[in-house]
Amino acid sequence: MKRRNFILLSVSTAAFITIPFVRCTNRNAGWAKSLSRPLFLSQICDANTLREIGNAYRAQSPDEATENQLVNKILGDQGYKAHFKDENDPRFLAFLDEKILRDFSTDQTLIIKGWVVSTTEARQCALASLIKP
Amino acid sequence: MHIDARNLPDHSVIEGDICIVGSGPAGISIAMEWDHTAFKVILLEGGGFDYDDQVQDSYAGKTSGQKYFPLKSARLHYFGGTSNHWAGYCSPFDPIDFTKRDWVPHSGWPINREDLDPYYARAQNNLDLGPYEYGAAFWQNKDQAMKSLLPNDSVVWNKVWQFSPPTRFGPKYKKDIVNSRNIHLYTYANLVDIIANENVSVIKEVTVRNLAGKQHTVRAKHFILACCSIQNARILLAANKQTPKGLGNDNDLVGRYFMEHLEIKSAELFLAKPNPLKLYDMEFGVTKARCELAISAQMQERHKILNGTCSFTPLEIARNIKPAIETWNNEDPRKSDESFMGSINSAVKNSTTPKEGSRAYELFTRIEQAPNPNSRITLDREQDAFGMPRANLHWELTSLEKRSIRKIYELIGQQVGLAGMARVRLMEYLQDENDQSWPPFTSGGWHHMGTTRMSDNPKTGVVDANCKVYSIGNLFVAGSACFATAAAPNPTLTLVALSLRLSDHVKALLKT
Repeated sequence: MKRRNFILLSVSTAAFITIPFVRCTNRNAGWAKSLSRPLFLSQICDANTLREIGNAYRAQSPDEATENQLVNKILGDQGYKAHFKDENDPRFLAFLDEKILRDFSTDQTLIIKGWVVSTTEARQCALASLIKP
Repeated sequence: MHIDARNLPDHSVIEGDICIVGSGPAGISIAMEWDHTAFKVILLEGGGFDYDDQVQDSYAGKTSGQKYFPLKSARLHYFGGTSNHWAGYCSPFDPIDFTKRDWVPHSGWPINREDLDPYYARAQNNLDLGPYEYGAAFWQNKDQAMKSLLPNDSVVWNKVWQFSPPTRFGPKYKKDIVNSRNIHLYTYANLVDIIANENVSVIKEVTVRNLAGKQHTVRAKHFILACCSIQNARILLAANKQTPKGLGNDNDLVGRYFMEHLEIKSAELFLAKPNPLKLYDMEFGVTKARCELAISAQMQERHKILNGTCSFTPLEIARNIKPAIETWNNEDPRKSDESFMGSINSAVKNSTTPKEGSRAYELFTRIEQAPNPNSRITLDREQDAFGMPRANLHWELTSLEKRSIRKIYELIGQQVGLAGMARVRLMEYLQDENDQSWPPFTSGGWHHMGTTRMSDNPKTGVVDANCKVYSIGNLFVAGSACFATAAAPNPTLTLVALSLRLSDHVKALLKT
């Protein structure tokens, strides 16, 4: 293979792999940022505590290591985009509140660093630890 | 009538219809049931009307296993017994506490809560409590500010405690007993031996001694040991001249199943808004009733946990209170009491809680321990000044206690989360579910129970459902020594209720 072709092929292959990844990691950035602040916990915990909970959650849940994975776990599937205009939609906050309450009523809770938190809250903290490590 | 046994001629013989050994809440409650009757009641007290360190010394003993308070200072040995320094916390046991729970080894009483209810109602008077009302709604109706933290009670409910002034049985009943014509109180009469008939089926007499060097004999138709769990077991084990293993100990059960309440800080509650939590607040000498959070029977069964409750202290105060196991560390109960109360008073004095209430509370557990045959009283080779072998306590816990505490706070955490009110953080010692160790601040509640446990089978209990020692026709045990399980509440109300029930039973026996 000629050096020029090799370079072109390498660049295009890298782009083929990287561009979707970048798109993928970025496509939920707004949602991830919005989700990274668990409202109730933020009233009683400082940012450092939220990150500690988040780090501990990620350590015990290695399959939820990326922002996308966490966002999708919290929001269930991609369907949320059809329900909410964007991450600033007021219905989105109500949805999150309900989801957290549902966690507490259905045993979807965890003890992390001693805190009894809903699984959704733990994932929100994990996002916080990724976005502002 | 009062007689100081030190002033009697040596080797006096005292005779009556019933002999009650011990003048604490159990012994005095029984004695008062017989006032103005035709029966002669002998009430024996090892000490006098006031603290006497030489007498108190007979309560000293060694401890092993889980760290415990000095035995000498864990009980009081004079008229009125330990009621002379108790705090007055009262609440009945729950129905589930009497049942056999397949997840709690050795659980189950031969009586149930309904059997005790009429006696609980009577015991309220002995302890100067309010009406026999332990539903939260009754007290909330009296004070609208007593609001529940949680909207429903299917998982976590509000268990009511009432507060005795606290009743000091010595001062309260001294005059009545001294003036009674048929209750004969003998002070400085320490029981040192029990003598049965030849085949050890009936008690003939007991021997008492004092530090004046006098020894007397007491004869009665029925004998009731009401000396507290450790001393009752010690007396039975030491009465080993006719039966080498001790009286009532054919099945090696006397002294076993010693139980305490674990009292330990366990978690912290962080509220979104300040809240005085008035329903759960207690001001000593003022509050008549308050609640602690308890776990429903259904949830105890589902999660296979012990019964325990949770109380609240504003974090700014709680963080300055030293653990009881650290402050109650002197052999002299007066010094331990001073140190213990000093820590609490100092913390309260030096902390300010906002009028609108705190946003953060320490969650403090009181929980039963699982009945455990290895948690026990044995006799030491060393003797006290009366010639009685001293008591040794080996206090032993199981993994069930710790798992239960962790689950209790997980459930409370879920419920306050569901209510959208707060979040709970467990203390570090509870965070690793595989960690079986206990932190150095693990304390008891000075609540001695078990050691002559009640059962419907002599192979599993020392006394029967009427508190009668198996195989001995006229020997009974009164008090918390008979408890088969410890439940969560402080034991005084239940032990007084059980003593009143025993009193009725002995009355019926004497009438026939």
